[in-house]
Amino acid sequence: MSRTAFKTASALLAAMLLFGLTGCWNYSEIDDMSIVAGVALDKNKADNNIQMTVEMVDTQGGLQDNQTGFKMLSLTGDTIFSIARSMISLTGRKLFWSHAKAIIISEELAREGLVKVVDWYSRDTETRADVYIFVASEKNAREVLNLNQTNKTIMSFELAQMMKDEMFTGTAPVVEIWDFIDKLETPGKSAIAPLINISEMNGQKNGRVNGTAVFAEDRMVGKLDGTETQYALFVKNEVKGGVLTIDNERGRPTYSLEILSNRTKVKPVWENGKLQIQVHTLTHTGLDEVMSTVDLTGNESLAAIENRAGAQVQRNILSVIRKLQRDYQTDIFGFGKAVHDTIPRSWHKLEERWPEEFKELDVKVTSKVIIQSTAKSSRTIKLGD
Amino acid sequence: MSKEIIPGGQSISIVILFIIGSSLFMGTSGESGNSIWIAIILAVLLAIPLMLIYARLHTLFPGKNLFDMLISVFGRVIGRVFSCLYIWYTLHLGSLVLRNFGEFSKTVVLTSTPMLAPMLIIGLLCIWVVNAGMEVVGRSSKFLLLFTFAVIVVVQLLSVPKYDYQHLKPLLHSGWGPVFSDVAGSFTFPFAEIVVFLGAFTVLPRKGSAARVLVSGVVIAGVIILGVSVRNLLVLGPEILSSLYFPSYVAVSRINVGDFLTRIEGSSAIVFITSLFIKTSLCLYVSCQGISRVFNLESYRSVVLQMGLIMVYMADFIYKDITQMQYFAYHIYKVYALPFQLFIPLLLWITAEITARRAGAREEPSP
Repeated sequence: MSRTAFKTASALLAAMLLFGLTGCWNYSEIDDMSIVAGVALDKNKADNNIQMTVEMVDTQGGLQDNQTGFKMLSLTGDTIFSIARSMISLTGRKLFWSHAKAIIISEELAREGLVKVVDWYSRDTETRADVYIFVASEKNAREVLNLNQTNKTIMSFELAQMMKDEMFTGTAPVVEIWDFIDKLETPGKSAIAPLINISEMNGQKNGRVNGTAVFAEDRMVGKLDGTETQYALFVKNEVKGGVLTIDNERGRPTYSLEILSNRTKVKPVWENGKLQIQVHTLTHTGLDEVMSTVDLTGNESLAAIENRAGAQVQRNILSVIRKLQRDYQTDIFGFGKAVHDTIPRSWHKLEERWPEEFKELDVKVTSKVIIQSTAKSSRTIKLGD
Repeated sequence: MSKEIIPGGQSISIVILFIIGSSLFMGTSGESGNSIWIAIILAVLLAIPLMLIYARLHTLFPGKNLFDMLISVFGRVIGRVFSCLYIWYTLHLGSLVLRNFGEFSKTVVLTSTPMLAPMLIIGLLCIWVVNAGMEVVGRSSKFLLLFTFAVIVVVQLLSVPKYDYQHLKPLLHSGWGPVFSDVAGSFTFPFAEIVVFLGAFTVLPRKGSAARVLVSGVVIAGVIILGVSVRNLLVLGPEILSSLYFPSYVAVSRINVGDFLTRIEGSSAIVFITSLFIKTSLCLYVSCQGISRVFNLESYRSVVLQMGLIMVYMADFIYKDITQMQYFAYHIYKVYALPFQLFIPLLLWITAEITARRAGAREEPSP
């Protein structure tokens, strides 16, 4: 072959290659997809199957709209995946799950067991397992998503934002779906999920994440309210912030301590032939509010407040542990896991009957609260006449 | 046909990339849960004597590859039978690795692309590079190793915030039984798979460099695999880890640095491809070498294209589905691979030592 012929042939081949290099095999444009922001799952009583409500980002929004629109769709079906696919018959477009932020499950469904709900989400490759999971304490989970009608915002993204800032209040656990499944599988540790309800105040409806849904295996068995949740998180060593309200000498709530950091150690020991769990908490706080003019001396000195705070934390932690032992018999604190980790030999004996064992477990709590700072002021406000 | 020699550093790179090849995304066999790291360390320690045996073969037969050795030790017929076994082993291994990649891309990355497409692309690349010669493989692997290493280290550091050290406790939770089973598993896949490299021994510079190349290659690869496995364990925990086909990919997807550095698993998947590319290329090279030796071809290059295409096609039909692949890789492979990795090389070594001794004894009294 002559040199020019060779060159022409190469050029032609290279030009042909261009057709193969235009893009991926199965690429899809963004306007061919419906972007899912969040899902609500309810029980459909009529057919005894699942109803899925999907909140989608509306990509059709015009330029004059400052806010991204949203669209809601509901469909029922026997399995989650079949619903997800059937949605195409409503939208005409395939749902795109990678940006979903929230999955809300109605209490009714949660009480029946969550494995059937979460498995698809963690198994499928279209979805990502880092979506936040919620249990709605309202009658229907979709009502929470429906708040977007009044709030004019995409509810799922709001909820995700709430979970990001949850560490400043610490009244609900932050649970992503992989974390939830991890807890389901870990022996000696039960799963929890945050509760979401609709709070109505002065005609304003808002979603509020507060409290905990407690699970035994994959079935929801009970609830903790916001304060109980805070102290449960203390035991789980998941407190990153939040406020402790401390009474003054006469038992009136007077002081606010902002939690700066907290460290909890859970130690299982054998004491007189009985398993005992020792919980130590050490909390560093800052005094951020004093609702009185009494000097910070004597019975109201910082040391006295520290002691009262310590006693209060200790009391509340014990009461939440008692509640779980007595009412739900489910070990959300991972005491069983602590036994499994530190004294594996005992765990082999206890594993079989851990729920009963947990119920009778002897728990000892010691709490210490340290006030590190008093914010900007060194003393209380003095009233000059 | 010019003699190809590649420097020691490049050979080490080939060895490292070859070993970490599919283990990077498949993970090692994980029956022992949180004691997997013990199993890996033991497997590396077990692999080192084997590497010394392989290296000894190189000193006994300088300038010869596995097939030359087999033919010269066991004779024309039996040597060729053994060679055919090795041709099968390398061809099959190359297919398995390609299929691992195919399943990976089908399951997590390109779900609606037929599996054959990515495998064919990698396969053609391997054919090209093997046709170009071992020197090219050596040079590219040295570059790719640096890249792979950088990505692994960065990902490793980024996942530190997701570590949960509780997952390591309790030590030896399920006893030694599963640990030993895992030692066998990770010894055969991936460490002792380096027996394939025997087929490329001609490319090593002569004088006793094989020991250095093999031992340091295995140790470095062992450290990388150990690091990756422990990371997966710390991020995912033993329970989740055991349920996943591609644990590394999922572990990396958990990385979230300040809501900014997220979803990097796609980018980190590049290192799976780089290491797998080298592994498949070496398998292809060795199987072609084998054919050229068995049939006395002038050059191995004349069969590269055919073997490569067979490899890709075989990868397509070798398993029915991913569960079968998982089962074969973790349960059957450790038995299937032992003759190739251990028994035949041992037999070869012992016979070679005896013949060398005899030849030495015969030579000594004569002068």
